[in-house]
Amino acid sequence: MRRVWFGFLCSLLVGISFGSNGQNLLLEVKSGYGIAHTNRLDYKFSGFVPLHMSLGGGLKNLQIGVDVMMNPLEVGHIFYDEFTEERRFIEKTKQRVYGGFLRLNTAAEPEDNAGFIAKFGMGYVDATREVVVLESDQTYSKKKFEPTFLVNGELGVSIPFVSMGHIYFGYGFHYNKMTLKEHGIVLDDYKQFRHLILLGVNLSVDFTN
Amino acid sequence: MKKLFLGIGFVLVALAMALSGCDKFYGTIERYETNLLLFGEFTNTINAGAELSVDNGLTSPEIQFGSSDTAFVDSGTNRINIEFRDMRFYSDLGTYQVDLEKGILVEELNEGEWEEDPESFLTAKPSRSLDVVLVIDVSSSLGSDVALVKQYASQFVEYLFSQNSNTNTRIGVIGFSEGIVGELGLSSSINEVNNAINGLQEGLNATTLYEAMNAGVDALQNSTAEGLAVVTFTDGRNNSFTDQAFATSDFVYSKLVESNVSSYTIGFTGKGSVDEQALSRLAVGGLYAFPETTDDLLKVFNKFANSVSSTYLLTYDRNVSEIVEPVRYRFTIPVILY
Repeated sequence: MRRVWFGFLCSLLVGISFGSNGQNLLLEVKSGYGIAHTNRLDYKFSGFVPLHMSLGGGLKNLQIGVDVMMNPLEVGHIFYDEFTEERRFIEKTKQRVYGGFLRLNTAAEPEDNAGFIAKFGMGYVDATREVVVLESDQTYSKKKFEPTFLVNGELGVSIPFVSMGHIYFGYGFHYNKMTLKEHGIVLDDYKQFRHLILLGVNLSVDFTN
Repeated sequence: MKKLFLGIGFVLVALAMALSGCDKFYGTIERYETNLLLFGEFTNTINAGAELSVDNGLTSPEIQFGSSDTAFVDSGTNRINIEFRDMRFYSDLGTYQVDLEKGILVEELNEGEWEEDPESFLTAKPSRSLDVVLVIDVSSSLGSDVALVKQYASQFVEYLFSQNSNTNTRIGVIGFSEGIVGELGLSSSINEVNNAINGLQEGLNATTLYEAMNAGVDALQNSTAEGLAVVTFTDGRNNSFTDQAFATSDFVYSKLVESNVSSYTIGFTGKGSVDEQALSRLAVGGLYAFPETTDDLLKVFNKFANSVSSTYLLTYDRNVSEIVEPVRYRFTIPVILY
């Protein structure tokens, strides 16, 4: 059902962009490096690698769109054996976000000029916790988190380097709650914060030109 | 410019692919806490008495039951107590200890809804008594390491006695190489146990592993302790036996499965002749490890001492009212992984 809605929104955006009121179509792919931390004191920072894909449309300086955010390198935490000091298992948080965004570009002509970018978004979080025993590389457990929503914001710059092609560099912040239940009992409940440095490329098409 | 565009794209993909196979960016877990769930049905009838039957299908697999439960009425408080002895909490992730500072949540299923039951309690206490038998390989293949093995075994013993100072702890010792070369029955004297370990003489280059383990289990057969464990150390594989039953690990394995004894096995792989498959199979209700160096061996002894000590007495406490229709209960047990 999520895919149906996602497809519908994509079609709607393309429609808006090509329609009489549409001015601009944005395609963006970016990756980079992020760190995730939570309000659980016993879990230290974890790095991760994000991969975001966005499709947006609308006016020259203001677009709405949909994006998919995934992690080729997921957030993970390793538990070390207190006595042998060996790595015993890793708890991975596999997360994919299907979201929507509002994007502001300050460039006079976004297709041709550099501009500051401000982006705000929300998304549905599809997350799973997988615990893998490192010695045997066997999955010990795999549990889905409760469905939740994520809010995210970004600040960056978009610099043209080829016709309609831009390099994007920015900082992103994500926040969401994570709740894991079993038979109705809360096994884990925490807040997750993610900070990202993003580098990407985007294609900005201005249909009015 | 097109080349730059392609170049950046390539770098991003390469970065993502390279990092996805690398775990140095991961964080650490300093303390792993979780909740384990125990589901059961309670009845108390005049004919059958009080019974709390565990629903193994729903209960967390990390909860390991030792001996069968015992129900009785506490004459002092006139309340029913159902005791589960020799309870252990472990999984492939390690051994859990009950977080005794947090209480165990007791809930009753009432018209499809789980509701907290303030009138019945489940408490966990470290076992009041613990009997452990150390089965130690002293065959000549150990060479000069035999002194270190004895030293670590003594430290293991000291740890068990110190960790369980409020518990009636007894430890027995069996030394083996070609047959049993030294034996001490269960003793609560740390000096006696250490003397027995230090007095083990180096044997021949033969390993009657399964017979020695069998003797260890036998030493606990008449024990009434709430926690029972056999800890076996060897650097070799079973290559000698006086009875055909001990040609393979099957006999000892079956005996362990049928008993309430938790088995811990250590295969010291420094000499490279350990039967890891057999030793991991024989770690029934316990742990196994294959340290390569004497440093690692010390760490394993310490780890096992901690795990052997983690045995609990669970007591379900409630009023004596007659309950004919089974009442479903859910217990949430907070634990910490070690």
